[in-house]
Amino acid sequence: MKAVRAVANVLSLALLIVFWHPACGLGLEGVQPSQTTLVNISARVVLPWATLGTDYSYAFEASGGVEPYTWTISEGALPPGLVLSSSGLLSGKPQEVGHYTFTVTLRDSTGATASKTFSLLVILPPTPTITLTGLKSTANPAEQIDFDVELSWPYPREITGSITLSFTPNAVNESDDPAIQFMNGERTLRFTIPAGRTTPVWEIAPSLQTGTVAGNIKLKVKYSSDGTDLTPLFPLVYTISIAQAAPVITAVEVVRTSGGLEVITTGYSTPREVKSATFEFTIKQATGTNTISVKVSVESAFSTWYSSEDSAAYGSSFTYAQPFTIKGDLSSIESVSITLTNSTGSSEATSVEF
Amino acid sequence: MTERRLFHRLVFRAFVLMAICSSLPAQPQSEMQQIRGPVLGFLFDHKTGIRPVLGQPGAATLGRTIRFRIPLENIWFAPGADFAVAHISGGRGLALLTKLSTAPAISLLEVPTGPSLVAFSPSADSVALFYPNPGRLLVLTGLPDAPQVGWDFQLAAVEEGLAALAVSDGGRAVLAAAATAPAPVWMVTPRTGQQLLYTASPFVSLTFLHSSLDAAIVGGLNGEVVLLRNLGGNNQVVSLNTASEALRHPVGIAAAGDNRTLFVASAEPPAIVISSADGTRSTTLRCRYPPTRLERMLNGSLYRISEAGNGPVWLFDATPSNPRILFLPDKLPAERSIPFRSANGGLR
Repeated sequence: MKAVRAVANVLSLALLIVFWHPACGLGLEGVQPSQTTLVNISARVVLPWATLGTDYSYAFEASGGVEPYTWTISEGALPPGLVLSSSGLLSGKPQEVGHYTFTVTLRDSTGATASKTFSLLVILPPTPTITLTGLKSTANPAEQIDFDVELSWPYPREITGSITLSFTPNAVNESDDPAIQFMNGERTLRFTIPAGRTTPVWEIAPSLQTGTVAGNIKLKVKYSSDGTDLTPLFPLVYTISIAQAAPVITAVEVVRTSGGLEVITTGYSTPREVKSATFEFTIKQATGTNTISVKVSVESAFSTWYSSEDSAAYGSSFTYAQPFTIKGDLSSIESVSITLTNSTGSSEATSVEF
Repeated sequence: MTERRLFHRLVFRAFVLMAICSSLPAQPQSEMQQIRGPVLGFLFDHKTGIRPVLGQPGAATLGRTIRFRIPLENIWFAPGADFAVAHISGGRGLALLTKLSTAPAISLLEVPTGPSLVAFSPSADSVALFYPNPGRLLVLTGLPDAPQVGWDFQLAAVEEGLAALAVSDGGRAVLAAAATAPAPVWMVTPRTGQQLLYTASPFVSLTFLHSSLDAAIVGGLNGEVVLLRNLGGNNQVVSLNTASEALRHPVGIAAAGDNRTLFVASAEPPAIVISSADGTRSTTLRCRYPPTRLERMLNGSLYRISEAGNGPVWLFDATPSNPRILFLPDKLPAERSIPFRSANGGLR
């Protein structure tokens, strides 16, 4: 009885060994043995994902049989861009997204073969983000700012996009400023980032004008690839603030008139208001020079100008002509200095010599 | 008591203020105040015509096309002024366009048609016209209100034409550079005739200084800038080391209003060189695109340095505190004809 039990135990163990031995042909992976020396492809049927346009490498491994091994694709097709070397290395840069199924056949030096079907998923890389470089949060009026578009990492497909500019005035007499625009004369700038690059190829490097009206310039970027919108759900919005500031005089000209003279002042005032103008005349006299200051209220005139349709084409820019009646000798006036004042402050005094 | 004293004090102060004001020699005419939009200058191209540049340097836009009822070509805008000389299409004559920034008007100039070169004096009171066949020089003075032929001259040895031309304020003298290599530069006056002053490279630009018979030339045989002083008298040639590298292809030279600073536009290397007229200081502003000209605009410190009609126009803002290269977006608003009055019974 003991002897019978011992024989049964030995047989059970033998069967167990037979069933568990990987070379026995009864594994779970369906490899077909061709000879008594068994060769086997030891890999999972689902390969690690590949990313479009990114280097991919996977080495198939074999067991059993007699080296050297030779690896081939016997059925199906690899993703375009990938190749299988005879030594079993699957490598390259996949060029098309998709789910690919193919059968790999392994042959050892004795001619024994084993085949196995694999699946490989080629996916798009993570969506890159776009940033605008060279911008700043505050800028001066009448400034031109160069900037660029930059992708967080190269994308395997061409990306097209647009930057849209909008303006919210923060002025006493509010108005849009048509001078706030890109170099192309529009408020939308289109760009194309070639596949594999991080910056667009510009014909003219982009730049924008800040105009002359106080307010906030906002820039929003939208971009897509192959018709798929890649813009983040909460895209970055770039804001450039133009502050309310004292008037700026850019040119002063004096013209003689029949009754005296006219002081023509050109400049801008970002709040779109000017309250007063102060003129200081330096007059040559027998006893030396004398300075006479004349303050003129211009609030109403400027308010009328900034409320007019005509002013809308100029932002806060103006040319203000102030005539004066001169009593006495006009040639005694040596120079005139003008200062403009708004709610924020006064401009630098600008002088013209006669 | 206190209130009465305060009232008297206020009345007295008001009386004193009125007395002071009425004694001021300069009285503002508040009812005559005028405010309008600034015009920086004008552009012309054959596709769209004359367009005003509106706004401020660095914040400028193009205004609507100024249309005349007759077609124009080859317009020369006066520096720092709002008038221009224009060819009427079809060889129908030369026209004077005036008041371009306010009430554009056109009148016919009584001069031969077809000059190949037109050069204004620095203050635009005179203009020199060169007619290649047979090398005639004509100087108009009294611009823009009373244009008249100041003098004319038959140039010798200009079979190849002229490369550059400049006229002094008042139309007293002309500088002319032949279109040969090397290029002789002559001074021409009605009194002294045609005198050889200097020999320059084929790429030569000339300018007189403001209200002066001093002149500046860029395009010496080594690309240098020279100042010609006391022309017509004891001529002096002063060479200025204006740039750190040779200006191989200068395209324009101009003097600031105070004659203390010279500006040179260079296509190769692409740059604007700003130098003091005494040669002691020099600054180079690099340009992203090669300048093709240096044309002072209505705003006296703003220069156009590229052609119009083909993308953004490049400008040079010569404001002393912040000289810079600027773009002007070349985009037209909706077209609209601007009404104008005719002047001098001229063409409309």
